[in-house]
Amino acid sequence: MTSRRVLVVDDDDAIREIAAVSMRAVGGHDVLTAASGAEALVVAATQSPDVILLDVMMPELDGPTTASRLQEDDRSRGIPVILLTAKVHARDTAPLGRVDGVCGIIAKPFDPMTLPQQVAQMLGW
Amino acid sequence: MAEPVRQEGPDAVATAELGAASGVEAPAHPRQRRAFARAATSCALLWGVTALLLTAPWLDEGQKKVLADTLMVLFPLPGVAFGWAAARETSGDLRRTWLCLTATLGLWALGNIGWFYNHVLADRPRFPAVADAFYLAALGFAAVALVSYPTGIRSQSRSRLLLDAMSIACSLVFISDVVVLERVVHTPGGGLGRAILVTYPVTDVLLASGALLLLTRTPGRLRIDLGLVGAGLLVYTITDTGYAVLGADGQYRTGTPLDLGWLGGYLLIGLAALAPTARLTERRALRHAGTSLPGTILVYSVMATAIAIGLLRSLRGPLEIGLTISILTLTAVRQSVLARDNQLLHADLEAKVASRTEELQQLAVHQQSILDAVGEGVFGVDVTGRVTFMNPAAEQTLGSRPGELIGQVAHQAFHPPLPAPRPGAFPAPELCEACVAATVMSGGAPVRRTTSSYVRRDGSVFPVEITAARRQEAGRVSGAVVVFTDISERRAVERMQEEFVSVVSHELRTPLTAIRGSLGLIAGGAVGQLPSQAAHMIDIARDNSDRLTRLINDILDLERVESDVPIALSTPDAEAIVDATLESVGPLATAAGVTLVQGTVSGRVRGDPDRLVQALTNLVSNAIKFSSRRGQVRIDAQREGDHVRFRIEDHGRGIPADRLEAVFDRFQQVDSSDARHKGGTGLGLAITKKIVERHGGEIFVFSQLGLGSVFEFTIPAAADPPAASERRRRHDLATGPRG
Repeated sequence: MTSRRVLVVDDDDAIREIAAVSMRAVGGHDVLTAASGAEALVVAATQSPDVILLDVMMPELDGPTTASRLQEDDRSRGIPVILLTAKVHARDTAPLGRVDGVCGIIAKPFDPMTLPQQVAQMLGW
Repeated sequence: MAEPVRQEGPDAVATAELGAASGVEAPAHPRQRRAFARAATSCALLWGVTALLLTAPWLDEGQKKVLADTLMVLFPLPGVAFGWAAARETSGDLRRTWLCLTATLGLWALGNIGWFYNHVLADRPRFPAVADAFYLAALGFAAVALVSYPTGIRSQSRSRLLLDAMSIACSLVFISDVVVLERVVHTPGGGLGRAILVTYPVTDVLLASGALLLLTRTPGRLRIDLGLVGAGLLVYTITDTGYAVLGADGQYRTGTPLDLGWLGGYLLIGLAALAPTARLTERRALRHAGTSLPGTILVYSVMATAIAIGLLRSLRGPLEIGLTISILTLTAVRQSVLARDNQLLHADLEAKVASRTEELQQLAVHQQSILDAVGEGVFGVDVTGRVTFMNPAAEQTLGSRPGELIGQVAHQAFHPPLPAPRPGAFPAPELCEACVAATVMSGGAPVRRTTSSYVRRDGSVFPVEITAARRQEAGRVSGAVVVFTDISERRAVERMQEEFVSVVSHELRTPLTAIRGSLGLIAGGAVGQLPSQAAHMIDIARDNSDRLTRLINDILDLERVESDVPIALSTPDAEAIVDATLESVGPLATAAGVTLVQGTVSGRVRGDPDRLVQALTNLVSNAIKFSSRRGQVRIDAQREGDHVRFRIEDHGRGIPADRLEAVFDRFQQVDSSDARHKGGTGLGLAITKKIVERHGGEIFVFSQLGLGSVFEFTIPAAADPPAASERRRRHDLATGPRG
């Protein structure tokens, strides 16, 4: 597995850190982090990550909105987005899958030991 | 609001009496009563003075004759004025009565003018004269007046009255024939004169008896005007009879006390028009008019008198006479007793009817108060869908004025527009096929619907829950009763609950994700190796955080199944549901070394495919968990009537009989250690049961300890598209049953 650049976006510090550690220590990837949708837009545009792990429920810019904004910016368009959500019901998650640029959904709580593997599977790495 | 009418003083009492006796509302005006009293007193005085003058010794016969003949012209005149006034103030039959009586008095006055001319001015007494034509015409008008008199007697009683009148008339004519007329008829003289002399008393008798009979049928104070007319006619009859006898003997002349009879008659009939009751148009006869005791006694006594007089002329000896009188008396008594019994029976029946009517009224009031008190909207429709009644709650909820919607077609008035009904689907085009009312009227069993909406008068739509039942009268459907509740608030609460679940879900999962993630990273060695004892502790913490996750998921899920409205309806094949289930539990079965057998699977259900897969998955994974290695779990689904029955059979350890009831309850596991060992939360079966119930199905469990368990549940079936079922049958024939 080659090393990729991963952007983890979550407003919760603990979860952001765990996801980051998981992707770095278990997956061996370079990890960038952002604590809000707005910050994610800047980082994505400037650092061009290979994938963005995006929390759904965030204040101000939530996950789906951020995902849409990413597609509007030429620099970040086309970067695959995987949503992390605490919603588990199919009725809630189904609309998320239809957001532009979203290529996968991972439910919280996730297993940090298998998270990189799940991401890799979704993106066909 | 109208002021309540207050009745005070003696007038109020009189009104109440009158109302009670006759059922008439209109009270006699006190001014009218005083006028009547004054007129009656004046008439009595006038008549008294006349009587004094006509019998006075200081007046000679010539003076008395002129006086009498003059008064005969004058006395009918007040009656003409009163009668005319009464006729002007009344209407219908009563108006005709007063007009005719006015005519009668007027004609009498005219006749008396003729008499006055012949006997006083011209001094050429003649008989028969023009005056007699007026007298006869006057009697004719009097007859019309009596026939027109409104008594309120029903036609049935009217025929009995006629019968009585004929009996009395025949008897009286017989009596007068025997006593008086014989002498008149047998006097020598002109045939016309004799005929006229006979006609007067006979006609008078008929009129007087008619008036008296009417009087026996008339209740209470209404007797005043009729009584005065009757009395006038009676006095007139007696006088005419005397006149006939005297006239036949050629002894009659005016100016004698006999004239007082006619003069009194004029005054009495004239006073009748002034009576306080003379203007009451609406009258009601006594209820037992046909069988009144006084009427019976009157008729029989007159008849008996006639027979007695007839017999007395031919009978000889005191024995025969005594026996005859006894027979007649006994007959009369017997008839009177019969009439009395009849009257009592009638009164008894009336009382029963009255009490029954009161009971029914009380019942109606009771039902009305229930309808008024309930918070639910209640309304009824007839077979054409028109509203027949609606309680205040319904009117308030729909925002309508009281009674506004009565008679309107319910569907058009407050049901949101729906596709037009299929032609010929139901006889009444006003009924919408989707309306519950139409459903129960064509269906039968009461229907409950939780997903309907109604429209308020202002056009706003609100969600309602409806229950409808059909009404039957004499074995035929006569309409439907619909009960509805405005569930806007409930819907709002449900939405809030849903939001709450969503928020709680997020709030609980976020820290859990952090805990689970940290433990996972430590246990996985991603952040450095731990001593083995510490690693073991971390494993326990991680496993339990997993368990907590599942628990939270299940609790939230259970909450969602309960509040999910409406269950997403589609019509999946049972096969698709079973396939999806087998796919999801496949790895679990493989891990447990359990074989999954798909039995007969057919049919099509109506429901939410995701939820049905979840329910079946819960049951199948349970069956797998409790099966031993190399065990078998068999799944069947088959249509049975109007539902599809799913069946999951295992050969595991079974459930003790005393725990069977409880397996569907929350956190009820047969063995408390199962939660740890089998990885369940104790909520799977509760969720499954809820899902099945939300679909309108039922769930069952059969089990024998040590031999295994069978779980079954039913889901309402959807109609099989014929092509699809045909295809499946061919497919089954080609491949044979799987298993």
